[in-house]
Amino acid sequence: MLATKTAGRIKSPRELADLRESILQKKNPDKACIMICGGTGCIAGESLGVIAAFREEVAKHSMEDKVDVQITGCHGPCEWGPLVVIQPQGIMYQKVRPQDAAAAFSETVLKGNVVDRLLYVDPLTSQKVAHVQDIPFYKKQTRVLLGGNSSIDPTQINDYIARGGYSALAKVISDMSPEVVVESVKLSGLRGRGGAGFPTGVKWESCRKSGSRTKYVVCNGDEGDPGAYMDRSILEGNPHSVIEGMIIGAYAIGASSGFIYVRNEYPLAVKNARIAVDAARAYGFLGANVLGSDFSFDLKVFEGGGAFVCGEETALIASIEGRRGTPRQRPPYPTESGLWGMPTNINNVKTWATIPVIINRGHEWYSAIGTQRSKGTAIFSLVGKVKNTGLVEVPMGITLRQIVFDIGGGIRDGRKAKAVQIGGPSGGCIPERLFDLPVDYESLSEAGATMGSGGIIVVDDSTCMVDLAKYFTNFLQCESCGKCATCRLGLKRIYDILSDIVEGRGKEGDIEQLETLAPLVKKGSLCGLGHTATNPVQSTLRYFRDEYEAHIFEKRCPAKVCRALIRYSVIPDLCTGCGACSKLCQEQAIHGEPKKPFAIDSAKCVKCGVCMETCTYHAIKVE
Amino acid sequence: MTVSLTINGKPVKAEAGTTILEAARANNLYIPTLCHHPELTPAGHCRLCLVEVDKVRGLPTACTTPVAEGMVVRTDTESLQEMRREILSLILSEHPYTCLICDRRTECGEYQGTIRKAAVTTGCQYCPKNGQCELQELVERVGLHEVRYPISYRGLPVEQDDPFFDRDYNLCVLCGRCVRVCQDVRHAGVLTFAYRGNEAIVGTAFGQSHLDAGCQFCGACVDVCPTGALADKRGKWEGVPTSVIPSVCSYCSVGCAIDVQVKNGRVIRTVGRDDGVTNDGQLCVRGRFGVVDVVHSLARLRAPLVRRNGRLVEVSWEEALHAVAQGLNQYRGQQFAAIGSAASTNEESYTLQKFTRATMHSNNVALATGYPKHEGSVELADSLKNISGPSIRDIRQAACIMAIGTNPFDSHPVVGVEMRRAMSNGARLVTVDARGTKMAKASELWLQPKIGTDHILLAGMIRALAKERCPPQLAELSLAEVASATGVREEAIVDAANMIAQHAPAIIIYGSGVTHHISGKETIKAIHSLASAAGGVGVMEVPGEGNFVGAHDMGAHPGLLPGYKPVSSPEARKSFEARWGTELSPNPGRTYEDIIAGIRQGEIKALWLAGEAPPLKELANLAFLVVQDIVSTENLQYAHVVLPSATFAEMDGTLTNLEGRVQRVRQAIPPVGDSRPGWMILRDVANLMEPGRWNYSSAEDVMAEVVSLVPAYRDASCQSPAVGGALRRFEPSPKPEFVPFDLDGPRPLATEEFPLTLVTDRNLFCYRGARLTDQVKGMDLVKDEDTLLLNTEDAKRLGISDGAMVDVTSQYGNAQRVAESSGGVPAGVVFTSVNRGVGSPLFPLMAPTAKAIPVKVCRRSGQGGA
Repeated sequence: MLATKTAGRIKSPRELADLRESILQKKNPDKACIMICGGTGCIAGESLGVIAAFREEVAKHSMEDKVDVQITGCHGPCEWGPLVVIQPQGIMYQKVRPQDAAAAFSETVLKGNVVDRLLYVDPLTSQKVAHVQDIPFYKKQTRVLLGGNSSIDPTQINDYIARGGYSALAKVISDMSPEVVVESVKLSGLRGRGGAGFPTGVKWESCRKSGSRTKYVVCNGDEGDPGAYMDRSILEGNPHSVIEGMIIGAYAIGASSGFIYVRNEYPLAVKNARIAVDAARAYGFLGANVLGSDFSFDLKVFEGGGAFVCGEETALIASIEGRRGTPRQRPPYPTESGLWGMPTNINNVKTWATIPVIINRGHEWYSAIGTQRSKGTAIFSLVGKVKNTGLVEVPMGITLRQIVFDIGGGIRDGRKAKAVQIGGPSGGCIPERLFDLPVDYESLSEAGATMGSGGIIVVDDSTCMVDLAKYFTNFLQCESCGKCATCRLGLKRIYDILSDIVEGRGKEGDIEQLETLAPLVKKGSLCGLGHTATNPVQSTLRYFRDEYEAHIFEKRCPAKVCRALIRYSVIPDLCTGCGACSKLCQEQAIHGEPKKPFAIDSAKCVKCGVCMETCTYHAIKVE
Repeated sequence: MTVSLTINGKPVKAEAGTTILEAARANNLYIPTLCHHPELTPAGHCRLCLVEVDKVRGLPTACTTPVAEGMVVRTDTESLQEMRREILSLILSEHPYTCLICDRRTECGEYQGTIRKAAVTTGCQYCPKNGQCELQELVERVGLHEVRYPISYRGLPVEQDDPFFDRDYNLCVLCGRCVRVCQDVRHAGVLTFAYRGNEAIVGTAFGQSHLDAGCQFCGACVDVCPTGALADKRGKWEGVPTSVIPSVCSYCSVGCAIDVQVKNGRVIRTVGRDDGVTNDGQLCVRGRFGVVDVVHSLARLRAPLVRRNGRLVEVSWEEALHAVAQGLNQYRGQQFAAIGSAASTNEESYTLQKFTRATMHSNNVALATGYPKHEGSVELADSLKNISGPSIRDIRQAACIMAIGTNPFDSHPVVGVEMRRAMSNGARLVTVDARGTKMAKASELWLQPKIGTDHILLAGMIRALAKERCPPQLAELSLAEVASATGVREEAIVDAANMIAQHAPAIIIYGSGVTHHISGKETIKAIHSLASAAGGVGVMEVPGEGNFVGAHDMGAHPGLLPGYKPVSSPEARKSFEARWGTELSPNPGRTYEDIIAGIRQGEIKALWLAGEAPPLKELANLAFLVVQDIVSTENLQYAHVVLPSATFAEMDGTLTNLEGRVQRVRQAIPPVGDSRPGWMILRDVANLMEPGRWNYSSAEDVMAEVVSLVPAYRDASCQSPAVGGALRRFEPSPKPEFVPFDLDGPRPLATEEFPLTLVTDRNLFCYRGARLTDQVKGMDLVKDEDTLLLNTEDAKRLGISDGAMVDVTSQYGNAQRVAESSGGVPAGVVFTSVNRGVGSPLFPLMAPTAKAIPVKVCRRSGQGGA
């Protein structure tokens, strides 16, 4: 770990280059480094204990000058955490416990051997993989933004600088006019990563052109989709990339102050972002006369209260202004009238973090990644019934099949893929037969889903699509701000109808009613929440209408999920009369004589499914 | 700039910046709305005004989308109409809708409740808004005949714990009008949305009661509510009024335009008129909720009373009038006096002073709430004559406002609304007040001068202006001296001066805290000097009572004839003598305090008491007392004859507000009981005493005579417009460039015996003899009249804890109050409000007029204290 240099403000791009040089020079290239993930997922898996254990090992062997123990940002596959990567070999250990530190240290750091039991097993080949670069999960990704996370300590600005951090800012300040920066972002083809995919450069340009002296830039870190955590991961693991992007954006737009809006449910992101902002200010990247130039800009980290709708830009503005986080009708768009009525450019965390990359590597390089209309990489949080879950960064245009099967390692427990819910709760379902669809804004939108903020929930055949639609609709109707009538009432009515269907009260006309209500909410609502909230119900209706019909007309749940529509029974031929199920049944709904087939009293059965899980003879069926 | 657009194929022109909705409505194209209200910022809650616009993504809301050149808008396509029906039926799925779409609804007459098919909780005849509900109209216009959703009744308890209005949020459609009016117009910030999604509801922060949340019960939320969710308790079940009469609220000098709603000969409700030039539809708790209970108070005097054998007995008007004429006949000249009310109409004030002067040959006519006793009374009244400054509506345009000796946020809330509006537009507010009022705390700069040093502070501000602006008289003044005299820091004086000088347009607002203070004359001069030195700053006086200005215009003043003509001037007298056909006394009469002193000393023998005097035991000395009032007061015990007076809701007449705007009040109902308008009573008495002299048959006749004598009123006769009235303009006296004033002016000083200075606050919760807190249910919860505010340290020193009863004693008398300590009160000063009407007296002589006197305060038990 490098000691933070407290050299004071850096007054020119030249001084920054010198600083980088001096940091690199102090770094011993031969020094071994134990990198341990300090992201929220791994911390939950006790990675702080692992770090302490490794430090203890280093101290025990008095090797502080030969081995570094470094905390890093999130590596992505949180399910395998705590993750430890030992450099220079690049050996990755997964699910490391503090008690594993001694073995890993003595074997790998001291002797260069591999501790077999801590290695990752590829679910496809069942092979153990030792080196990070060989793990298929990583290998098939293009980690433009996430790459930094696993190699730097987010609390150490010098780590970021050593990796070329703030050089994009230096380049912009010394060589590029604001117009050129805007042009460059436009040419890169970057589109807003918050979900709507509005061309970033165009947004910047309109904000730049709005005639006002006071302008703001805002980083939207109000990541509210259940299961999505890429924004958090970047803010926790590489906050300076966001800050650098924002400074460049502010320079291009002509803003003098900005806010990073983070939910307060992300304490580590808030903490790391604050540390980073302070460090950047101490170095002169923020504050008056950035890098000795005429340009001045400062940033504040603002904690949101955690309302899902505050991710909507006008609601976010209201929240920063201290009002109830409720969207307002656009136009005017925030680029004309945003925070306190001033032009405000709001971009997602990932969008901001992409900016330094575009500046450093050139817009040509960036726009070479991706498809005709969707450029660059997209980060998804891949969750659900896949073998490898975690954050994945892929080039636009990759197919869903590649994400689910090549990176995700396929479906768990040998089941069949049914669909993915892509784009968070207000995204849509895409059935397995369309998995060859390229992932880009247009294709997803045509298929009835959205890029959203990038959640992919993989669903297998044990999931009821009506129940899934109900689940997400419920989330959205609870998170609706309640301001506009269509969203507040329409979603509630949709939810009521879906509840009726899954609870066996579905009736003829329900589907038609859904088909009237859903477009009404979509077209009639005030903000993006309402505009997209019916995607789950509309896309499941589009692709899984038969499941709806089965629920309504046959009173049957094809996935055998909806309790009101299923019945557990004993297959007498298979039942040995062991009584195991009977003992576990909380409702005492299973009776029988030992060694004779048991029977389930469906009047008492609450359909919890414990009997089925317990039965080793597969003698319980559900229909 | 005008833009051209097409709506439904029709070419339309509209001002740039207006919305599609406004453009459509201006061209008689109907777009349904529910959440829209012309006075409120559009918000797009209800989604009913969705329209199609070529080249615009999605369906924009007409209420929020500005027009643009060449825009092509469609508002009534089949798909839009279908969508609206769907949206409306969604809205109705949570609002009892049987009353809206029941096919028998038209037959559900007032007395046919039995055929209704809806349960009580689902409305029909049992909704307070039945007949006036905007949903009823909307359903017709949108053409909704069926709601496919079951009623999802929220089952919320009706909130009835707060005064004045009930809240049944089961009927709420979340249009947000109440929230917006409370936040954006009234800036009260009491109402907000709580919770999210389908559980979203209107309420206060943390579910507090409205009282605890700081609601002032202006009723603006009730007025904008399209459904029966908010309904005033008083008029809730009265239904649709049979007649609506435009009038003017008489409770303070703002003169808010109101509609008096009448049903079956009773006033059922008063609401603000949207076209009111002074109030823009806004009212305060007094005008909104305080009228009905006063007009129909059980305490109203309903028949004339004459004292017989020591008891007041009901008599006919004829008997009573004869008794008065007979009684007064013996006391013509200096032994007669009249005390008028600053809440009566111009016609009443004019006839009262005419009766005193022409019939009784006395100049002893004064207002109970007139200027305090000192020689400046004429000069102070003169400031009313010269009113020509900014209008109330101008306040919202101000870039800087200085408020001195007034607290409009509480005393004149509608002026407060305009101030808040200006502040939300970025105006700077400077408050000069010894108290830490809500307004002081909301202001950018709060100067807290020592009591009685306002004029010195103002002199300091003039001195602090740029050198060339400072008049030579003050060039030598040292700011350090001013700072030490006033207790205000030098920098703050400079800041305040700069703020006024550098932000145009600026307005200085002053009120009775200045005019009724012992050094008021000096302070007014200082205000005008500052205004002209700072460069054309507007000055606005905010007097208390509803017709304070008008009563002075009408000559309800011992030294001034109508139109501010001095009685001492033979020339002035001449025209009045000619018109009135009698000789007038050249000697200025007695002020209110002198009248009371005269009664005490036996020099005044007969009194006509028409004003809001506190209980006065001196009245027992009178040989003949006529009390003319609207309600029974404690002073009736001394009366020989009692004449029941009509309120402003029961008669025609005019009132002159603080802008000099003469507005009509109109008879909405016949006078309650056997009461009569004041001018009629005086006419009849005058004609009995000198037959045939007074021949008015209406208030218009009185005003016609006023106009002939006071040309300033020529535009302001009863023929003036029904709403808004007309400004009366006196011959402008030359604007004084700088009026030198006495820097050492009189200052009340605490003595050893009375170590604290009591500052009184004019209590405007009064109408004539009626205290609103007594007459109006719930008003006592809003206006706390019994509190004595004192400094926290003083309270500690005196051993007085909050809530303790304390005795307040001055050289004139003593009173009881409930102590409340506050850090916002300067040491050595105590505050209380003065009751002018019925109720416990406070310093009978000083109370109504003087602003500050030395007192001592001690705990009720008699121990401790200072």
